[in-house]
Amino acid sequence: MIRFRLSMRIIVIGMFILLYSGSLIILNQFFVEKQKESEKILSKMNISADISKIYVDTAEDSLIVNDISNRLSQSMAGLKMTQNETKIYSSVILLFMMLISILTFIFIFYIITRPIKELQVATEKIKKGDFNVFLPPKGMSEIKSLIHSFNDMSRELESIQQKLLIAQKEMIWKDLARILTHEIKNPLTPIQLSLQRLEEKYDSDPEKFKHIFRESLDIIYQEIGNLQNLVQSFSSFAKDTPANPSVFDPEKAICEILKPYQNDYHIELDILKDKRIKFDPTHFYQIITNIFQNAIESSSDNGKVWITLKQSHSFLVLTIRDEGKGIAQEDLSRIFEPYFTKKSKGTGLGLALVKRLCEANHTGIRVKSVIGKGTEFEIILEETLENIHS
Amino acid sequence: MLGSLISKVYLNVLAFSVLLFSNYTGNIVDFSNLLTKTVGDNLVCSTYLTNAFENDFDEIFKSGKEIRVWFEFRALKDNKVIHYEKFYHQVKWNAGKQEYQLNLQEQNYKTNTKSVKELKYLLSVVEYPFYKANHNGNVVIEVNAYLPKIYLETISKEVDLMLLWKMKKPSIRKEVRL
Repeated sequence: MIRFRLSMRIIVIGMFILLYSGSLIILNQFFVEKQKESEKILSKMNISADISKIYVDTAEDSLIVNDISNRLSQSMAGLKMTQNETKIYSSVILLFMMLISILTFIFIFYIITRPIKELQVATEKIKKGDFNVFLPPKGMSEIKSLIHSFNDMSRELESIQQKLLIAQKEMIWKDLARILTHEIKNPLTPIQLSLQRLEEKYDSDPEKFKHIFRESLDIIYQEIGNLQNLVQSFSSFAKDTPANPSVFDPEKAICEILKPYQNDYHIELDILKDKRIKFDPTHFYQIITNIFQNAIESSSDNGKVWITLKQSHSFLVLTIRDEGKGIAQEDLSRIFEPYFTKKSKGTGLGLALVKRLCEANHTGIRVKSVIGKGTEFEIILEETLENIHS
Repeated sequence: MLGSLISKVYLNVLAFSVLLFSNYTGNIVDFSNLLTKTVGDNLVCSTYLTNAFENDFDEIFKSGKEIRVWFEFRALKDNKVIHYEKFYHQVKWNAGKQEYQLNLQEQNYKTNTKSVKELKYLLSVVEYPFYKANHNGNVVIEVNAYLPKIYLETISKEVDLMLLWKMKKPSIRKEVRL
């Protein structure tokens, strides 16, 4: 359905034309009625025919009567013509007056409202985040003053925006530095301790050295592995993630992803079979793994994780729910921000990456959480009827 | 060309404003069919003004002034005027005798009448003999009419009688083969 939205300008102009024309037509109607009355009176004054019937004795008197009759008739004709002239020319004058008044009103109204319209457009730009807006002051003094205030405001906003951007960048760098320091320091300490222990035993107790050598090497390898994982997660987040979609069965993919976890964790599956989605399989793996990893980390030892895939119209809704400690309402809006984390060990990149991968695949993701009861992630997947390519 | 355009715009504006804001009726004048018949070497062209002298003309005729209804006759061949004649039908009110004196110039006919109905009929009928002997082929016959301005002494003012025809000159055209 097409919906017309009348602008304020058109409404005001329309109202003016309506009221102005209406009042002029009513006024004109009043004069027309009065003209009709005067015409009636005039018709009764047409007595020249009666005058000519007056009986006169002399030729001289006859001439006088004829002259009176002629003058009266001519005056009546003159009156009639003047009346007609009035009727015609007054209507033409009225029409011109109306047109000129309406055009003048529209012109003045346009001059007054044009700067306001420009202000509205400029405000829209500011709303969209473009603070670099300058309007040349024009129009009436009040409008000029308004434009000056607007320009001051946009300048002020631009300056605040720049300061905010700088502060934000600083904050991001500080957060990043904090995370990197923490995450690098954590594996470095056991590495350092292991090396110190090896060095100490090598000199003082060679027998014991042999005994702890393998154990210390394992610790060092494990921590190097942790460092590599850290680098890997930063690297994944930093690089572009264009989707390379292909058609697959989500049930099979989810089961495959969860296979390594089945023995150690309590996972409840309720997944529709024989469905097909078009998605980047690598991205799908990363998304499920990240959310599932978060779910098991936040759950207690015996905590369950529910994974369901259900139909909703032409979409498939994949839900991953845990009964962990939940996320505070004030943090919910920030969980997809890079480097935002409430975990003691974490880069804050996992969910940010999930969000980015969902966007790359044109998929929506929602999160609901209640403190103490758990968190639920919902991924809205579009079902496809395309066949799976082998 | 420009004059014709301005005239058309003016007439339309006038008609529109009268329609909107006035109770003025006036007279919507037109010619009836232009009839032609050959009488000897002449092509007698006859037509009739319709609705020409209804509203307000009774008072005007009785003003005692000589009132002329002007007619223009044109014969055109290949858009060139080959014959032009201007003539009038004149009426004057005689208050003493309470009758109208009528003069139809093109017919060279003068008469008196007390009947307004007859007066209006005689004023409206046009019968013009066009001497066709010098011409042949297709010729366009065009007739139009207009009213003059008259000066009324009692109100010391000149009035344009065309107002009564809403400023519109009635006109008729017909193509004939000679």
